[in-house]
Amino acid sequence: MNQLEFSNTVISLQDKLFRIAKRLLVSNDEAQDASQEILSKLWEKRSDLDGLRSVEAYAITMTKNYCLDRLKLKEASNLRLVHSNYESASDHVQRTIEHQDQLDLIDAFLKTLPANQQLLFQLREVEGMEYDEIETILDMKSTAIRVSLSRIRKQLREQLFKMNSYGIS
Amino acid sequence: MELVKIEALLEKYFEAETSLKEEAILKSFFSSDQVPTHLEMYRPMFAYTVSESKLKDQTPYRIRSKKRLSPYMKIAASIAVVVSIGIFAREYQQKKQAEYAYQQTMAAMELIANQFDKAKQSIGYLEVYENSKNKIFKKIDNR
Repeated sequence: MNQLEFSNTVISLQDKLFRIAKRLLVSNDEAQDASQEILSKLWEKRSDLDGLRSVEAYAITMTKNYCLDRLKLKEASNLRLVHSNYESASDHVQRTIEHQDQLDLIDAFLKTLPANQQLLFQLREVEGMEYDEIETILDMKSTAIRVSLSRIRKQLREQLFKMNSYGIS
Repeated sequence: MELVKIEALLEKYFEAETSLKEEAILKSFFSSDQVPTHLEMYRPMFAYTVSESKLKDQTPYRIRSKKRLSPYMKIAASIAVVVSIGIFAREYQQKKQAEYAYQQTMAAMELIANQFDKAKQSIGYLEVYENSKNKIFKKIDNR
């Protein structure tokens, strides 16, 4: 893979990798570090990329593993993330103000999920990926994926329902 | 899109049985302004995924290819280093020598200066001698 091909196929994935990293690591800076790191690693391995079935799946899997390692490291050193600290308004300029509370509620709910389910949500709901791609990245069976996704969607619905009927978050 | 169809799609959606295409239909329906009040509560779910998918990495990645030095360049570079060390060492030695010579000269000058001082003191004695001599000779002349 030469420089031009690399730019076209791999660097165009940057935003996606960034979003996935941000889903898991929460902090903007850490997500940026992650995407830079992953792209550098891919650049070093560019000669191996031609043989892959899907460069995208490979890159996302690398990102996943990188983020899980980072999270483990953090847990080991007892540095717990305070999620709300990282939420910066500039990230979501496009959100309308009327929905802000509900979108924050969804954010907060998703952060309570285990990393694998957060990833599943990200890949299907946000990135709009097919189930077979998600299977390879998450190393899960398709039935397990559907069961898990269905549960997440229903839990989310419940959260929104609660908020609507009691006006609490 | 008829409302009945949307409701059926929603049902499928929560069982995770919708395809990507059907999910796209739901997303676009819930971002429109035709959402009836009894479905309004679902709107944030789809609005959230749409807004999240627009996040962008603010620092674009640039390929930093490490240029490797050719072997000839490496040899040239090491020669340059050795030569410059040699030049530096020689200059240092010369400077040291010059400093030594300067110190030697200074020491010699000081010695001379000391001798001079001593000589000056001796001249003082001479003066006393002269005076006494004059006195004696004056006395003799006055007689």
